Amino acid sequence: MPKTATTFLLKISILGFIALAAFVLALTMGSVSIEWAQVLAGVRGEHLSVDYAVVVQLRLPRALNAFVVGGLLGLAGTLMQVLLRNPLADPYVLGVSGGAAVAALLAMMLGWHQGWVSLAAAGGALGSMALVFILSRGQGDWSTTRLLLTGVVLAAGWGAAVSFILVVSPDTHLRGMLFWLMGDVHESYPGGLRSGILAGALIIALISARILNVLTLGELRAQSLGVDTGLVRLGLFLVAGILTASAVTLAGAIGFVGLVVPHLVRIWGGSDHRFVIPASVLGGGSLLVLAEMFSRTLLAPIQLPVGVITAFVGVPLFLLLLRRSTAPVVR
Amino acid sequence: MSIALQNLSIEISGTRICQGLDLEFSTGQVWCVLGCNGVGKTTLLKTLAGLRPPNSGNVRLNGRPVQRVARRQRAQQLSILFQDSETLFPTTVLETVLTGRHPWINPLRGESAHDRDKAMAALERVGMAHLAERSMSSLSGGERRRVDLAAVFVQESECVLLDEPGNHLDMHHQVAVLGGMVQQWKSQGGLVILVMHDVNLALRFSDHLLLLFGDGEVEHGPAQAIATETTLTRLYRHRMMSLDAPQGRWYLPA
Repeated sequence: MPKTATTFLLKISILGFIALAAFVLALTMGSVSIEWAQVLAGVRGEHLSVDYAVVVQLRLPRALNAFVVGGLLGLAGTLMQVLLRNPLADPYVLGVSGGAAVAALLAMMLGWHQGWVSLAAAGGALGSMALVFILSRGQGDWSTTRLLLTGVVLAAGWGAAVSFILVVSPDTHLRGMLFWLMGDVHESYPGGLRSGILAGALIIALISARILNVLTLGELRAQSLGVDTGLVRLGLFLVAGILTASAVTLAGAIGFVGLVVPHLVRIWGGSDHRFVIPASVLGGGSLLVLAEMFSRTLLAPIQLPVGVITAFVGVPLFLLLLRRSTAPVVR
Repeated sequence: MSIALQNLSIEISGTRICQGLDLEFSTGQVWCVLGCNGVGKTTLLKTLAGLRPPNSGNVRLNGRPVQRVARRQRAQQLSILFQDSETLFPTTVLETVLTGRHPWINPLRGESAHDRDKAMAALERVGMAHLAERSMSSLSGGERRRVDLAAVFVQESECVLLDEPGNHLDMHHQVAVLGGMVQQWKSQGGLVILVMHDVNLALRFSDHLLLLFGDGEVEHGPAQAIATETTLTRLYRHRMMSLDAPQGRWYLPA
């Protein structure tokens, strides 16, 4: 596709620049203004200043964290919408985050440390995935509707369990629990595991992009074009689930990014997944980096949960684009 | 190029479509499947395409059980047009036609200029080239149908199964565009199997008929021998009359 390939590359480059700009903003903006000469001196190892510490130990890790989480969620949302054949699907619709939340809150209630809370969340997420998989499989047939309903019902169940835990927990834990539920990023570098998962999933998804295009035409049509739809859907389920679990264990259940970013990207650049997949990663990452920056600066010195900001930024942005777009997002 | 049915029995939710059917569709033939609503024409077509296992017996594509032919190879040999098409997200006309090239494109690469040319030529053929960049959701039913036909055409398989291909098409597109494609597939030694409701169009396009009466009762053979007032009346449970005109014999419901 010579003509389209150029357009794709151009648009992906634009998103790349947006991501870069988001990082620059996230590193510059904040309650302390930064002397960049001091930071550079710190980078060169000549002189360690407060400015250097703020940028390298606080802002950069938070921004990187936000980018990785946003990328994970953007990609998970895109894949989940294809898997469930539903434009309203988001990474959390199958209850992966609900399972993680229940496990994480239980861990917090028991007073576990943050590392253990994350580990518990990972266990909860993977356990919930396995449960959805086994329950929706039924008698061999793995229909989209059954998968979606199983996930939705399970997610509702986890929601009830979360409310229960909140009610019976001592007040001292409540604030931490609420922040976890709304989603927040931490001052630690995202680490090789999550970045590796994002990179690996991105490569797998890019290789399968044309297959996903065919799958959106319907399962039978895809089969008639030689696609092993059972295998592809299983792959989508696993990859989207692992992406969601990684995001949730890193930053809690940050809403909105996974639902809206794939649509924003499609409104702007069309539905070809060779574009939508990389664009969702870059778009999701940039959106969350900006949201993280606003969460620190908007009501400084109060720090808001990033999940609140994503909704504040995302809702009007999405509605505006939806009004202006000629192509219907949801037909 | 052939599709052979061996002792084939198909049932769907209690309805028997065929039982112990032995039949061979071979190269250069155009078959038309006729029958009342709900008699299982679509299910038969899906079974022939290997998208649904038969209850017993075998469907062989070029001598091999169709479900054991490698998927990609099968898609290169056999294409199917469904009654309805769906799109999940907004896609353009050209993108939709290009999906028909999927079985021929290296899995790790994109479609080439060659594939694009084929897609545009097919769109030209169905009179949709000027709408190539339009969104599928902005098209009328007949236009969508023509795009779907073009997508099957670029799949370039020797076996082509078409489920009610004339749906939504106006007279010109039924006769000239669809009829032209069927003629081309036939003359290139392909095998075409159509499901149709218009008996006269079916007789115009096809040389063989497969009649599904329900309850597993089936009749098949050369079109001229099979199509009679009595048989068609029994098939449609409605009195059918023939009318001889200079162009041939026509069938009308009484």
